[in-house]
Amino acid sequence: VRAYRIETDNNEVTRAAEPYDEVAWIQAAKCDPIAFAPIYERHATQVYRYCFRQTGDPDLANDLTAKIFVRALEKLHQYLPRPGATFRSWLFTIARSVITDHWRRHRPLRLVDERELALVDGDPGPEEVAVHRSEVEELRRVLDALPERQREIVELRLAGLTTNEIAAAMEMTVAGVKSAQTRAYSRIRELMTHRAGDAR
Amino acid sequence: MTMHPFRRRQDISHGDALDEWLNTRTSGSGTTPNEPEGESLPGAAQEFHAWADNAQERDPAATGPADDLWNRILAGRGRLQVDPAHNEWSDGDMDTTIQAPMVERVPPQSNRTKRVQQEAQSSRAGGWLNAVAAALLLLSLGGGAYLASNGGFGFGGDGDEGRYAAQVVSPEASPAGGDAVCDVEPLTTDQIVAYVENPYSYMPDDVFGTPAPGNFSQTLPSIDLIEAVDVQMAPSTGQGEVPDDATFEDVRSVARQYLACMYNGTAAQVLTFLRPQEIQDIVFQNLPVYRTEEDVRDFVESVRDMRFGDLNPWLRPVGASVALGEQRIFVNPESTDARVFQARRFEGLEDSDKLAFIGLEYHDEAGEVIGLTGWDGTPLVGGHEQTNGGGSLVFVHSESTDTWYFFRHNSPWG
Repeated sequence: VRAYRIETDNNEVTRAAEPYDEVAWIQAAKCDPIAFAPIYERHATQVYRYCFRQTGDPDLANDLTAKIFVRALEKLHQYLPRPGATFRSWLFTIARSVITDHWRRHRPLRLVDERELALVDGDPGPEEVAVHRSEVEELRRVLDALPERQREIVELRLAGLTTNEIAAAMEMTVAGVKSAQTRAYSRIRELMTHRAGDAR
Repeated sequence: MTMHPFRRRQDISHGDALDEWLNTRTSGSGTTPNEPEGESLPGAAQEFHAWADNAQERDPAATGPADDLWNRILAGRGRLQVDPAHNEWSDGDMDTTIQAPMVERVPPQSNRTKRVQQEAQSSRAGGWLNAVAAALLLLSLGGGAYLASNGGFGFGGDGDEGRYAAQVVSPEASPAGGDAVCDVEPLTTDQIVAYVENPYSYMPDDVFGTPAPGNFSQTLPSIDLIEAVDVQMAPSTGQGEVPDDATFEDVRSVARQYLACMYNGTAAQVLTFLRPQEIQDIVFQNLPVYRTEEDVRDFVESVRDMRFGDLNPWLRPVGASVALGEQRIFVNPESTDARVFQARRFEGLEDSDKLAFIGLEYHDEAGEVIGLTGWDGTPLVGGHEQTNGGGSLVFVHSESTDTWYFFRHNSPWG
């Protein structure tokens, strides 16, 4: 048994048992949100990265991560384990909703820049070549080149979800996830080949 | 048509191998997945994931959330804010950042919708003539810079004659960059609380069926409605359409009043320009997770009569902060090339059927015009470096209330 302490402004929570028992903490958190801390700690990084990959903005990614966990806290009393699904898949269901909500409200309204699309297809113009971009931005461009559903599946794979969890989070069948996943990674293989060619 | 059963089987096999490799990798079982062949689909997935992991590990911003994010969540902030003045994290402590109002609120005369409709009706017949007259007036006075040096354009003129006329206002008389009066009737506390409880309650039942029951401790409507609606994400705003005279006058009237209230109105007046969903979002961002109706009411009462420009940035609608910097923005009087886009089932605007873009005029602190932008933010005068990013104001039209709401300041340069 290892003590575990989360300090907040005026509260603290002590972990009573190891290893991490998610079900127990969920039950506890339904009564007291302080007990959600270990759950937050376990999933926050993947949720944040999921948000960051989609926004490329650390401030916004923190903002969205906070919103996702706030909503998870608010809806925790509705959470019921389902066969094939996990708490993580439930959490990412909320994450998808929050991010979709955000984009629908705040996606920049601008004309599509054809040069950006050309870049993903391995045909960058001289201006784009000259501009330095981080690899994370490049990763986002690869993901942007996928159809929406395929992109979401790959995003959830990057977040560490299994096929069953993705199916639960996206309300798809396992077969549907596998089929879209195969197409997504086939496309990624093409894009990575282009990328390797460009690097040479 | 000839079938290719063996090829199909091969695809399935590749898909299964890929799925197996991905599950082994992500299961957390500690088992190292078998090394896939480089050219195979699992091989490509391995290369991609290795690259993605490496990229994220090397980018400090991608590594993980802010250290104190959990405490902020628990403390009820829910949403982090960046203080633009210091460009760093701010606790957003309401007690220390909201200041006493600096000017008295103008007593309301009428509500916004009625006023806009009256103005629009009275001026529709001569709308385009007025626009032409405004351009001629600009020329006759020697150009926008000259006008701006004398105070720029006013918002508040009623009637056809003075509607787009330049108002000569000395900078001393208008140190804040505009004498425009915000005279829309503010939302009452009860109205704001009702919108926070259920921002969809004003919508007719045939939009989404019976509105969900309100709950001050949940953002449930936002989540559930979005999951229920299959919104098509438009890849582009396209070219849009030139609005008809009536639409143009409606939007321009609302834009002028919105800007007037941004500078000189109270929080409760500015909220009349926001859709109820956004009002709920703004209020929720400033209250603890476990809030009650009383919490919402107390918060609304504490800020409703404050001058909007004095409130800290996180109470402002999205994209509005550009209006409150050192520069001042006005509706571009030459913005006769506004555009309207279809908005139905777009961007989560469940109740909206149109987006309208309208250009802006930028003044510096002395009142000099330093730039004009058209509907798409393209600078008409001056470069975008001079115009604080350029851009246009975007409004959405609600079918339910037949009202234009402020949506965002849209800048093509980010």
